[in-house]
Amino acid sequence: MLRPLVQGMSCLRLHGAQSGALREAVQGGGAAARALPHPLLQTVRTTFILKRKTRPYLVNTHKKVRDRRLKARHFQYVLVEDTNIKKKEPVKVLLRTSVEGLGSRGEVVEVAPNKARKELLLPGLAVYASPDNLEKFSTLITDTTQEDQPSSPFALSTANMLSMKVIYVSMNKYKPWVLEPWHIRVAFRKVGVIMPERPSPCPRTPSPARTLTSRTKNLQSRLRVEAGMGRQGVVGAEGGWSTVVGRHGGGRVSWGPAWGPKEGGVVINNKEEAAVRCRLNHYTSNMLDRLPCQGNFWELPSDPLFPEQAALLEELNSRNQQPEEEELD
Amino acid sequence: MASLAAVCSTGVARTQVLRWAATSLHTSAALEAARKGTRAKAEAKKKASKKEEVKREFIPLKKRLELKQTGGASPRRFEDHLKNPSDDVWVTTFYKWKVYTVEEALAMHRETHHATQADLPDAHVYVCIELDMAADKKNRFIDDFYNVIRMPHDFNTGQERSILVISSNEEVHEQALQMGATHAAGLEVVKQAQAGDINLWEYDHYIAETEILPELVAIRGLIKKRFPTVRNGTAGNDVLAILERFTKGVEYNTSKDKYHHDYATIRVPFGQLSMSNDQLEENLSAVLKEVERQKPPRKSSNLITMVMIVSPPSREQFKFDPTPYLLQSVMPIKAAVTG
Repeated sequence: MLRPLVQGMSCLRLHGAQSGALREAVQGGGAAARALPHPLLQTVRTTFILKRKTRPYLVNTHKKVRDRRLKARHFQYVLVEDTNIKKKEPVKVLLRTSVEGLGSRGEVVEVAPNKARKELLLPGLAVYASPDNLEKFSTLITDTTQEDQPSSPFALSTANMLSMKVIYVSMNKYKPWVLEPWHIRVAFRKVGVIMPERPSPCPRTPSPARTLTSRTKNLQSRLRVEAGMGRQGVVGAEGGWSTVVGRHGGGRVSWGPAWGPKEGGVVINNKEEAAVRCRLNHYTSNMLDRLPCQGNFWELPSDPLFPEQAALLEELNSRNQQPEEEELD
Repeated sequence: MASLAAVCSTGVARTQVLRWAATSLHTSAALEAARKGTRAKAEAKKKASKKEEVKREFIPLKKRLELKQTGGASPRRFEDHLKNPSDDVWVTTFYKWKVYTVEEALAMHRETHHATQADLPDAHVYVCIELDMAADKKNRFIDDFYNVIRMPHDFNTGQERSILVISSNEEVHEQALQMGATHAAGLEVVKQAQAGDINLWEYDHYIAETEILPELVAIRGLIKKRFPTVRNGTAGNDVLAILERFTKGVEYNTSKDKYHHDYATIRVPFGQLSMSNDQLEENLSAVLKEVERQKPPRKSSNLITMVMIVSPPSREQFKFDPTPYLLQSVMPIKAAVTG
């Protein structure tokens, strides 16, 4: 309803006597007209393609005009196509900054027109990839160094997703073990995150085991320990060995430079890093002997395995906590 | 007619009389015949238009609703719309499944079953095969099938089968029982079964000598599709060789989806993680070739659509490419069809 009204009003204004200057400007075209920001002059797509229900027959010319008139039935139409609801072609836009899940700076990408307008063009993240703009922003790609950009459109969202997760590292309940990077890789793979095996740059001989006797007491009650793999790389930087002693079995946590080029954390494409919360789970294949299953385990508190990472874990926990609902009085 | 003319001439009641005359006038034989013809025509037309009443069988509501169910979307995994992973760390839900080699898949299962983790070094390795059961004709599907495969490298399968060996030779009976047959007997089985002395349904498989098959026809109605035949590989001259396949082999069977008749799966163990990679690959190849052999001649599309390696209790499944394991052609043995 509104659209034809708006169009009609715009025509009125154009033909009205008072807006003579405006009409001249618009009809004359040129720079002046383009400079006029008038909401009513924006293109309104009101094209409906119709078809007559009844086709009028050809009439002999010698007949009177009265007989040649179209009948009421000739003014009944069937809608063939509404151009408004037609699927629109994607538009090409030039990204001025890197956009997650889409592309990096200076890249020309194809996006659905509505999405392009709302999410890219209006916030100023991108411009239309017109020849003028391409020329204007041609320096964008050359100016940016690789370091400014994410390594891939999906790397950042993967990193975000990983830092939200709490991943259980299942280690045997009875056999002694030393936690190694490949255990973590397997734990990640089990929850559907594939990581490459990074070659260790400098294999180190383990320093003498450091027993976390103070932690032992706490462990006995829950047997689940939380170890943060943080960017700070407290574990990695230390390069030492720690021992976790459980009630039933024991294990040592070794976290060394073998983890990757950068200490600790998951490194995506050798660039983006994510701190992921991991918990040790004392596992056995005997169903009856397993630790009881915990619902919503990611919400449960747990002790940090390495005291140095307590602050990082706290930050990760608080970031991923659901905001508590306010009580209604 | 004279009286009629007299009445007509009276004037007042003229119209009424005319009406009466019209009804009584059509009495000639010719007209009568014509009317009879039209009547017959109308009756014939009525008869033709009358539909034959179809007797509808009563279907209870519960069953009628069941028949309406379609089972929803196909259980097959469609991943045409997904991309291949581009990063070195990725979340599998958003991408196509990676196609591993068999060695990689086995190595990964050995990791999860390592002594420091699940500690199950002897766990069974299964191959999960997804099948396309649609034949070339529309609405025509391959029936469920089963068979027992003798692996190139034996392992403890954990499967138990009850086998009845029927042979006319008494020496064979003793050997068969030693080899692990549940029961071995001669032709007296026929009479015993008919008298109800033994229950044939207690046995999963029946193996018999080719020569005595004609005498066994009497019990064919009891064991139906499991009746020993040369074609199924359950009858032959050397019963003991067949028995060995049944005692030491691995049984597989397809399980069709309830609603999607073109979708079936096979899950069969082909070894243990403690076996060497070469042994496992040879066993795997034997399984895949055996299943491929069941493809009917009138089926143009592939029977095997997807294969994965699984090793419980780990729920991980690793897809791999079966083509290199299917290359060699082997003599076909037709598997039995589940009845």
